[in-house]
Amino acid sequence: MMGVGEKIGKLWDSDMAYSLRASRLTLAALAVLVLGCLLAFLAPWLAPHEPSNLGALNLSDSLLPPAWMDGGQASYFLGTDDQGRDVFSAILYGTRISLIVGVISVLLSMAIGISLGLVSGYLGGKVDALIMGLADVQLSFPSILIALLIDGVARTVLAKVMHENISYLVVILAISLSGWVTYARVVRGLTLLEKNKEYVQAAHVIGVHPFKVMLTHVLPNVTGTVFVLATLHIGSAVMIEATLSFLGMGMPPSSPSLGTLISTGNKFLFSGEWWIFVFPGLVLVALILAVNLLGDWLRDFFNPKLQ
Amino acid sequence: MIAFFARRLLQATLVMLTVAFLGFLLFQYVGDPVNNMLGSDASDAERALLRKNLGLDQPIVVQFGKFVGNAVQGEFGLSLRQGRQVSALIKERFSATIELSLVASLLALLIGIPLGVYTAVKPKSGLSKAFLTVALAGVSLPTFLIGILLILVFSVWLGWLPSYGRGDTIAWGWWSSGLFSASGWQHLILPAITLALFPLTLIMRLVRAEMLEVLRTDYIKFSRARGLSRRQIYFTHGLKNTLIPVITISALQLGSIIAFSIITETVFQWPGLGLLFIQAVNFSDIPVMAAYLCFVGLVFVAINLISDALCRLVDPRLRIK
Amino acid sequence: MALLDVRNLSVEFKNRRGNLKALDDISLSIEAGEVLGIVGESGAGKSLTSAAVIGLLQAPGYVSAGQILFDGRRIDNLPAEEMNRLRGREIGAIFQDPLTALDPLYSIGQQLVETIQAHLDLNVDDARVRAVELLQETGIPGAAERFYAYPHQLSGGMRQRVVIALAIAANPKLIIADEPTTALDVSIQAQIMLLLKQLGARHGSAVMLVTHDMGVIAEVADRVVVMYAGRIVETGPTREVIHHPRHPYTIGLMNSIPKLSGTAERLQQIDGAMPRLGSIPSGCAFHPRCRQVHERCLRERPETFTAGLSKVACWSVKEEQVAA
Repeated sequence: MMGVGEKIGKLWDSDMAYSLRASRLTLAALAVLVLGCLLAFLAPWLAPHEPSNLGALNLSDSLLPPAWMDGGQASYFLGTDDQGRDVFSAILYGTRISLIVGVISVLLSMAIGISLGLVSGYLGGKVDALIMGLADVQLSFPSILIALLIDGVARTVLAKVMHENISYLVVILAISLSGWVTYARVVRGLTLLEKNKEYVQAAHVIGVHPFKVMLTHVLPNVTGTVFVLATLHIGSAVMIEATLSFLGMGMPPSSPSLGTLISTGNKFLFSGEWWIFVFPGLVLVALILAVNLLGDWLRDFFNPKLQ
Repeated sequence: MIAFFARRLLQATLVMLTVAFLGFLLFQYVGDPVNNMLGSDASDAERALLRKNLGLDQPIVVQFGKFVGNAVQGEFGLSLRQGRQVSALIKERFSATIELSLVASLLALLIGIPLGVYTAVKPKSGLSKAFLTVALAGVSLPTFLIGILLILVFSVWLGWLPSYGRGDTIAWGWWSSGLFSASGWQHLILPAITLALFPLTLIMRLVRAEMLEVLRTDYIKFSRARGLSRRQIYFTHGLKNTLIPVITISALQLGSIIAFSIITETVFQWPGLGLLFIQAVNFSDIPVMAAYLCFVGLVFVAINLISDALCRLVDPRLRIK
Repeated sequence: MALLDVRNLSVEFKNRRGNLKALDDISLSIEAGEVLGIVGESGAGKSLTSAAVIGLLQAPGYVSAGQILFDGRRIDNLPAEEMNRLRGREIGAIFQDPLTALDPLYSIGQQLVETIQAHLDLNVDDARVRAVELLQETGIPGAAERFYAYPHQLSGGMRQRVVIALAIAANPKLIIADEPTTALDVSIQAQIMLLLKQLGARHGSAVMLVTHDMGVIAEVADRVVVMYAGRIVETGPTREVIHHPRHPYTIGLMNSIPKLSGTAERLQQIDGAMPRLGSIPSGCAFHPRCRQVHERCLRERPETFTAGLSKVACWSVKEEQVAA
């Protein structure tokens, strides 16, 4: 039986950890991500103010610069926006929203993609043709456009207030529906390969449902690729959400994500109140960059041809 | 060859029909199609007449047929927001988006491909590492952020370039072009760079990845063994073999430029189809949304056909069929 | 003076656990016009040797010691440009898989012409004529029409002929053939090997033939080098090595070839397996599997001794000589 210390030692010495340690950039990226997640998770406890509580906002405190500049106040560390919202608190909550929306969208996307891929590959024939046809058509449309369309339809169909309350659901739906295709394709490819193998037929003879057998064999093989895809997808999901919010189609000002904050900041950037734009912008870029670096490293690590 | 074209055209038509069907669903069932066609000012009599003409009581297939018939002629009813013919609106703004997209596409290709080759052939050079870092930034910075930053640096701080609008344009019929005036170009540069950056970095990374793969193949090894010059190895044999995936994915990227122009046009207030679309979404202007959807579908299908034809030109193995 | 003289060549691979020695102190030579066979199992280092000679060692491998002399000149440390000029012109190479050796996007005629023009000062028309001649020489029927064919339109055997044509296009003094027939049908193998030998004789080129197939060596090679675990264990005239093998490994190899004459119950084999790069035994690399192992074999790597017409690296052989 290995003690915990030995187990950690083994992990530390494994190929993966070695490669990770060797690239300081990737380590930094991982650190940034972990920090970001921690801050976001602990937002309710760390944030000095509540940016979404409209009643708590003090309009006389609006457009204050960061604490270290003239006119700044210590309690509003990074300054305030035009509604008197504390930028620091808004960033903490905004990161939280951006990350949650990003991760859930990707998970949902994965679920849809993997299921459709399995079904498509396993059943073949017309079902396969239909699903792949849909995938092809959808691939022609960039995620932004699909997300905008879904959001637009939601807006038309739902009343304004209801829409605001479930806006994050709409955004999640929009992003997941636009991203499932890659997962589906990968899984379908592998399913097709496995389907013809003998153990599937053998399972049929024994009486085990071949679908169950394939699940236990296809899924483990897919994990590496899917993991890489998902990591890179999170970066793109966060970007899409930020873009949607910036365009006014995503998270509303009542529960702003980083994109919404940047959109507000943009209005005041050129009149001198730069902090509303710059700080959320920096955080957003840091997050996406970190996720992309990590995803890149993962992809190189799992690439069999480089080993 | 004819058989190939016939088959691809059939596929293209199917895709267009699917897209049109989605547009149709939008048009007929989201919101009120009568409103979509006539606007909110029409009289009851006009509405009743239109309802009968549209055959809203008829089977879906017939309605869809009418929709397609109209769409092919560019007839999408009236914009709910502006009360004008959608077709007129599209005509006005078409050239702005197309020019911006074309310039951005050219930028992405003309810079992306050579840089991709360079970073693959000389992976350890300092310049390569610099390019790759910029590429990473390009993929990690959202388009709107790039746009705003460019405006900040080049318009506000340096004052070299304007930050919104199209500048002076020349009109030919319904096409207006900003390519023939200095002011037109000045207005075009920043939005074009903003729009080109993402596809540029993707193309660069793609060319690099494919090039690295190709450089490992046996035929490249054999061309080295044959003593061919570096130019022959890297370009005649190396680059050409990367073209198939590069053409395919570049086509996808360039097609998506049309859609990404939504963001760029918003940031730079560029009077194109993208800005029109965003305003439509904000306003729930369904006819415009449906029209834009069909337009984007058309662009994609066209680009895919062209990229297919190009692939066949490059690779003799695809010509067997 | 030998055409090719490899002296004490060592090739190493850097990896995160340290350096791996893939070739350990190899020495061999080829005279002008002769066919030298290099035989050994997969992983013995044969292909690495040929890659090192033509300067196409793939990173992270590198020449860590020794020299390679061609026509009296050192070529292992030449700048890239000069080495490139040597390739194709003085040293030609044929690799294993003809299906992937040719660029699928260009016709074989185009690839021939570009090779010819790269080394010989001919204009396009003359180059085309020479290209068709080469195709005819390598036995491709309908050469003039096949000139315009694409690689995927030819069979494996034909493609290998095209590859050979490309390799001899500039009349090199040395042709390296790395497993040229392994990927081909058995019936074609003999034809291709014969072609290689004939071309070599006709153009006066030497051939370095790398293969794991003793049968091919027996047919074509004048002399043979037997490799094991990155080292050379025996070198000698083909007939001598085949009929009078001296190194225990070579003896094992010859014994394991099924013979038509005589009777036998079972196939003979050498127990165990060739060691992998990271775990080569001390002393003689073969000692764990050797039936004639002595105590010295575990400690010291054997030097090379002359025995009859061959040279052998084995302590046991030395003992026999001393005893005789």
